[in-house]
Amino acid sequence: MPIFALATSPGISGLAVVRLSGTGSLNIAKKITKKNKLRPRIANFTNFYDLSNCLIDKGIYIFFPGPNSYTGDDVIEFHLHGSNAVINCFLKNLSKFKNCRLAKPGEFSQIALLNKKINLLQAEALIDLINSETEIQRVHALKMMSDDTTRLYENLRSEIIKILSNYEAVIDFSEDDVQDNIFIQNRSKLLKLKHKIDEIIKKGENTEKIRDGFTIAIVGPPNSGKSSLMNRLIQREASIVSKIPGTTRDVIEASIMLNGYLVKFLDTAGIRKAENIIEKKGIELTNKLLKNSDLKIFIFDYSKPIPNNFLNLFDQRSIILLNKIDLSSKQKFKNLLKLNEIKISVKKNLGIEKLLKLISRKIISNFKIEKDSVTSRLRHQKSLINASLLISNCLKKSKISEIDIAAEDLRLAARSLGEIVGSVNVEEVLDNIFRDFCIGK
Amino acid sequence: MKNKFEVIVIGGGHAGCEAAAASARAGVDTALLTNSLETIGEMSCNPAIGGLGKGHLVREIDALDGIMGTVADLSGIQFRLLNSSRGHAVRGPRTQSDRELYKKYMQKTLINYCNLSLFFDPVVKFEFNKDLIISVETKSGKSFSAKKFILTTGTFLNGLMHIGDQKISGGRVGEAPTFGLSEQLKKLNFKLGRLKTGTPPRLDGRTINYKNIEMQGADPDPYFFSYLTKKVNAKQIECGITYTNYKVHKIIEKNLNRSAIYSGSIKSVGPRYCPSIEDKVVKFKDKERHQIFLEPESLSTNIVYPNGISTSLPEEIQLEILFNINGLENVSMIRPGYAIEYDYVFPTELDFTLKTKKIKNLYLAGQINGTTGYEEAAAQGLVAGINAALTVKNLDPIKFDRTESYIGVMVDDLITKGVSEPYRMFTSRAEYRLTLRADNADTRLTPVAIKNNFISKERKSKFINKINSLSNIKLFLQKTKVSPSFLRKKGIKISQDGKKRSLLEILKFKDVDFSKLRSIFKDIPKITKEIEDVVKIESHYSGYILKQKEDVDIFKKDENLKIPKNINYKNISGLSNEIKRKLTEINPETFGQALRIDGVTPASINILMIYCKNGYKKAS
Ligand SMILES: Cc1cc2nc3c(=O)[nH]c(=O)nc-3n(C[C@H](O)[C@H](O)[C@H](O)COP(=O)(O)OP(=O)(O)OC[C@H]3O[C@@H](n4cnc5c(N)ncnc54)[C@H](O)[C@@H]3O)c2cc1C
Ligand SMILES: Nc1nc2c(ncn2[C@@H]2O[C@H](COP(=O)(O)OP(=O)(O)OP(=O)(O)O)[C@@H](O)[C@H]2O)c(=O)[nH]1
Ligand SMILES: [Mg+2]
Repeated sequence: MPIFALATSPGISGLAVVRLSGTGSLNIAKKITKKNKLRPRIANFTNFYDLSNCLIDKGIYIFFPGPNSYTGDDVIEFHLHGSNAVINCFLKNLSKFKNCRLAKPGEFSQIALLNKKINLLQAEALIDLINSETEIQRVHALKMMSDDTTRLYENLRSEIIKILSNYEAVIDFSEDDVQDNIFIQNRSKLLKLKHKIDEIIKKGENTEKIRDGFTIAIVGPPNSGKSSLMNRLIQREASIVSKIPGTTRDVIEASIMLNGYLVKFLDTAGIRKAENIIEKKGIELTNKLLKNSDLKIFIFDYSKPIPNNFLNLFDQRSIILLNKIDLSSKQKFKNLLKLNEIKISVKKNLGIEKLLKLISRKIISNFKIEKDSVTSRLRHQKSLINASLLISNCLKKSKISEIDIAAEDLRLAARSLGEIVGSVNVEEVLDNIFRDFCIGK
Repeated sequence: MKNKFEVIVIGGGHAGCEAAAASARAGVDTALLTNSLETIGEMSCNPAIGGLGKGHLVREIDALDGIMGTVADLSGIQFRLLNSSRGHAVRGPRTQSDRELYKKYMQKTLINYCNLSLFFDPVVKFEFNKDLIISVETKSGKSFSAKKFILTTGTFLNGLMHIGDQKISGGRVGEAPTFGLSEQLKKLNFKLGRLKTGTPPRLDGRTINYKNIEMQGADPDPYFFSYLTKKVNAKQIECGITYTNYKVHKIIEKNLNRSAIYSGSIKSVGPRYCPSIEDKVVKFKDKERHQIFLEPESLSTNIVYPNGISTSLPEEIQLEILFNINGLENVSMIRPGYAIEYDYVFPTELDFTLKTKKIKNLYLAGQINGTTGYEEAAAQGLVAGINAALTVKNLDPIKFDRTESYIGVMVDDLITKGVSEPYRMFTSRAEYRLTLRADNADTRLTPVAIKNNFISKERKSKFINKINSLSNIKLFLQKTKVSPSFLRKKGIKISQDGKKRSLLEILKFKDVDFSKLRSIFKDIPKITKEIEDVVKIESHYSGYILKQKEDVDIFKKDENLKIPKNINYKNISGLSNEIKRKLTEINPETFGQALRIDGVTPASINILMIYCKNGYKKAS
């Protein structure tokens, strides 16, 4: 079934590319171009016609016959003039062909994956590349997409399988006098392998943050200036500011780029003794956010005492701000000594530079990010941790009577590693991944 | 003479015997047509039943009330549980079987089998009515008709034996091959190929010098194949172990060009796992010696089977080799070894009941399907026999699943992947190996025999008793709970976490067994050793089995997605021709099976699913 979509972004542009893929695409392209034969992999300038033989546009098409195409099926790319009218007319015309329909987001890549043109790891990396905003994101996505990374995982897996086959030989061919010192023979190999996997895990500990960014919750008592700070940091009015305490109820998110990293701020409802249910809910939410965010900014009104219920929330990943220093204060912050608080005024833009520097420092000191790590998602980490654990389990076995379960440990470890590149259980992960795609890829 | 039956089995080898018995057991009027009474149950090659993976198959055959297990037990002259030092899941029961006794008991069993008639007259021709076989013609000119036919002619189809450059037409030494049947199948576009296998020379045991030879005896406490066997029937014997050596390897290397296999006169593929001595010397160059078991073939003859030196070298070279082996310096060779080439049918021609897709009332089982080994043959015989009988009775066929039995693993491998070399069972072929053990074959499969009513009263009641006492003891062990501090006092090491544990959980610990438990808890009901073992083994594997069960569930999800019958893959646009060809050829029953076919991509499965969904919509 042929599918099509605009592969470049919508809106007026010099050039727009429409991609058509699947069985039957070739015939459709022949009709549109009025050609009997399309020469493969060559840019051809031609007229494009609609079904009633009216000219739509003049442009270039390239025909990539399957399986040597992006999707693995026959693909034709049409280069049109990038006007809304041309694009709309062209797409509408395509949808009039029998069985031909608009592609779902990520569908081209999904087909490529199913046709084994790319693997799961590469499909994920592709989304990351398309969505990349920072330089670090771009470089890391390319790293994940490279054949070297795939090969690395495949090698790990085949090393396990090699060891597993030693175990299987002892099990199934012991008639042919295979030695029983199998555990000792493979011990150092397994340890080395586990060490390699653990290294990858360690290096990749925070790399999913390259893509997902760091979340920083802004919390504090009502009216302390949380929303004002958020707006200041992201330099636009995302959150409502007012002098009425309890203005913010739902969590407001907004991101900025800081030293190449994506940083996501969360403006929250102020914490106080809740007076009604809605507020109570808001505060519960804030507590949860505190737990899940990477850094926390506590912001207090310089002119007021710090409520006691905050004191036990401070930790290594907290930044404490005293806001509104533009107002003269009689309050002495006795209970804040030694906490490295920063004095700021959002209103007067005082101390904000210093705050940004501190955030950067805190990110670097708390989250070591290895740019050449070969994991980019929690999924990868989980599979690696699982594989490492299974190898440990296998290493615990030293009696020949346990060889069958030792082999099972290795079989499962190999499978865990296989899941990263996507050689198994693809279906389940598929849907999750392709949700993130935009149409036309 | 009666010549009309419901099921006719052609060939009285291991597949044929089991097929005939299964069909008759299911209450269907069955006939077995074979060359002669004397060769019923003949072991063409080594005088042994079982082994790794193979032992599992025999236990499963027995759990389904088949006959191989009991006959092997009756004729066993050296029971040994292989891999006994290794985990229970990979242990393989094996016995050397007295060749004469095995035949005798097999013949006796079949002669006395209810609903079964035997005829000693080889089949020479199929008679067709359209695409169905209506009858078969025998050598003596008789005609036999039936509703279903099961062909189990082993190595006999166009069999050609090789000893050096000597070629002899035959299905087995001293027996004529079968011509004509392959050709009839070929005419109907069946895909046929050639495979080869070989056998070592036979020796006169009286001329072997056992003085300097290491001997190996039977296990003191034999592990039987059959759940019904209680004690050893035949005398137990020892076998000798000797080795090839440098000199022998040199002789073989020098004469390679005279071996039928290496001179190019045999082109078919042989089993990688059961290689000839020529193969071993060529492929494992740096191995200094290869083991040879000297296995007496029978208590009543002096013939010895030298296990490990199957060969197709010329007779005089075989002798030269033998004379250079420790203990065989003065041996007299009764019969030279030989290799045999034969026709096999691509097993991808079959469905999961081993019925051919082209002839809807013909089933194939045994070596004819590209397998090797008695146990593999017998297991297929059972599958074909029982399913032929069930369809005669208009009942649903039985699907043996990969997740439930080695039989299922083998059938699925054969019909989905086909064979490129003779197929032999291994434990590593079973991905759910820890669940599919030789010890629990009955709990896995006997219920199938009960449900489909092809089981003797004796076995059924024995099984039900076993299940009852199993669940009773498990209930007891589950109900009795004790604290860790109590256990520590009794000398069982355990983390003192204050958590009470049931005795069943405690049994999981490595150093706890039933006698230990009984010494602490005097009120544990008395049960047989068999049941004790089952409970202990189950608890040993419980963690892993739970994990496997999750996998099994995932597997079953795909396996339950049936592909509509009569689908025409040629009509599905979007599938490549290669994939269309494969799907058409194998015609998978389920989406799960389709995905297991080599080269079938997930993308094509997707297309197929969409096609089927739309097809259903149109139909309803
Ligand atoms: C030389 C040789 C070496 C072998 N080596 C090994 C080995 O090393 N390892 C191993 O695992 N296995 C080996 N085998 C294989 C093993 O013997 C077979 O796998 C097993 O016996 C197959 O069982 P079956 O029932 O399919 O066929 P078979 O046991 O071959 O039985 C075929 C039966 O069909 C009958 N028959 C033939 N034609 C007709 C006809 N036209 N009409 C009626 N009846 C007919 C025959 O009389 C015979 O009873 C060897 C076999 C041979 C011959
Ligand atoms: N003088 C002074 N006023 C400030 C400063 N920062 C914020 N304010 C004022 O404080 C009031 C509350 O600010 P918000 O940003 O809405 O405070 P909040 O913490 O988000 O309040 P809730 O959402 O209600 O919890 C507003 O009137 C702001 O203008 C500051 O640095 N100096
Ligand atoms: Mg606010």
